[in-house]
Amino acid sequence: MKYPKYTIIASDDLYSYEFYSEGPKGRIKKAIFFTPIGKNLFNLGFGDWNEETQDVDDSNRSNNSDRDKVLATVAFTAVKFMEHFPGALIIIAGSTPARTRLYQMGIAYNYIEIKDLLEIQGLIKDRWESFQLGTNYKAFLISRK
Amino acid sequence: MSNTAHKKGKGSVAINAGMPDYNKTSFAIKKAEKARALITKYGLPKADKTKKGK
Repeated sequence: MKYPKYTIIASDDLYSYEFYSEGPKGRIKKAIFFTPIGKNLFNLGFGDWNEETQDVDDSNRSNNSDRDKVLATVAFTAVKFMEHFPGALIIIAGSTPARTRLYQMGIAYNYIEIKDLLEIQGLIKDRWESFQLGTNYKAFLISRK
Repeated sequence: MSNTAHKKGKGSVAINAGMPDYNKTSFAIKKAEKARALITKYGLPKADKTKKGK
């Protein structure tokens, strides 16, 4: 993928990934993980790692001036995950509408590169449709073509 | 090799055997519950590939 991205590190089982955002706010550890929720069905989780609580937090906006690089890293990680689990279907839904919009921006930003690799569906009202730029969705489902 | 040491893993991604299991965090569990509820409510697209397998 041509957009700048951070180097990711994977867990042994390849379900979890992490990287460090670097910017004016310092070095922030980010976690990306794919939680099995059904047969070949995974939920994509993403957020900042909080050492104190030993939990992930997606409520903060890091404002580390690297949003596009972070989103490109998440998109790259999803592609890598599906290289390892080619039958996987990944659901992406933000914890808030703002967070979902952020994911939508990530897909849109990387769309040219990922559209040939991935099938992307968006949930609009009560149905799934093929992802279209400029449409606001509640959630996304991605799989390998 | 320490827990933080990285080795070259499958493909081009390095592996950290000591990484926290993010899928066991309360955040991940809550997110998974919400995702399951969403799928229960709206179903999956008809042309889903969940039966394709690895």
